[in-house]
Amino acid sequence: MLKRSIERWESREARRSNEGGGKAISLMLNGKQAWCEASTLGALARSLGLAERRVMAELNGEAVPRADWDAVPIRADDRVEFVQFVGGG
Amino acid sequence: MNAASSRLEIGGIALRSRLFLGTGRYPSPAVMREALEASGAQVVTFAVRRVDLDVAEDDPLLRQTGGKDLVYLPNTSGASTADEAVRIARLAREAGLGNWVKVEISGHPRLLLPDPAETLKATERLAREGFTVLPYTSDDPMQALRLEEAGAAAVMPGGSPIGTGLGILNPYHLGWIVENAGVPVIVDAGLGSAADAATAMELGADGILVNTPVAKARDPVAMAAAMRLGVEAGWLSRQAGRIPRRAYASASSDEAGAWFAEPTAARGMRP
Repeated sequence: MLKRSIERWESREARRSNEGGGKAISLMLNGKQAWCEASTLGALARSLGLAERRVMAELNGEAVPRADWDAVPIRADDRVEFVQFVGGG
Repeated sequence: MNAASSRLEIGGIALRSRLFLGTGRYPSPAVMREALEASGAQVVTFAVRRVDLDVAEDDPLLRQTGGKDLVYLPNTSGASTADEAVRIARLAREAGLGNWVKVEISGHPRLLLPDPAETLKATERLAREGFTVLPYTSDDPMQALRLEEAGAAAVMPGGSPIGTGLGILNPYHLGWIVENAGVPVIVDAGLGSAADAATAMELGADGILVNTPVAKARDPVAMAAAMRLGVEAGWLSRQAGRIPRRAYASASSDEAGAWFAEPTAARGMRP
């Protein structure tokens, strides 16, 4: 159990460093301070396991079309929101 | 009356049902799906919320509604200003599920009544950006006209505050809104039962939107079916034309040929 979670953690870290390739930066992610090594919104979404889900993204208050995620860079102190449809009236 | 004329059209889409259904607060996603089927609704509403990044969960909601011939109506609940509502609408559009939006801007935590000034601003901006805008509004005939001028594709006055089940508190205002409206009128909030649905339609509404009265009914699936029938009954009744209300009785059996004397009370009647 522990071994498996360590492996999962290691592979996630490897994926992050492949995609990030740089130093971790601080940002506001869904209202909380977070550190990430992703250099683009697309890489950030993948590192969070959101790439395959129907989620929408906002960067510094502007909605970003999914097609643009990989082209949009993440910079220190950016405010990122990932949102989705939930039940409502 | 033919089938074509009975279709409600909003934003260029001819809808197969005049009942709009909310997707919140059901006991489970499976009950929601069953209720949706029983309701026959085509337009379904959603809220937009932050993904919980601590939970690796897929969106069970869209799995329940996916693959159906539905029109998605995301709301801007959670917004208390026009700016926030516009942000939510733009995000919702990026889901790729159409460009409809229900502007819902509440300025009061207990009443949840719509903020008229901010609602008007958001409606204007989003209509200009090409959204099909359905603003939730109070039952104010002047505000309904303003929203229409601002580009609303339909107006959605509440019968009473959201989730109260108090029904239609001001049928006069609702009647006036219907009388003056150049766009469809969808009664949006406060309905409690199928009787309220029928009443809204008899007052001339083009459709209704319900969530809590279905989701929180003892049997949500049965209530969804009841709402469908209530809407249909009310709409047919409106088309059929109700009799005028009268102060005194008028016999439904012909009086001619009756051979008994008039009842004694008749003698005491003033002419």
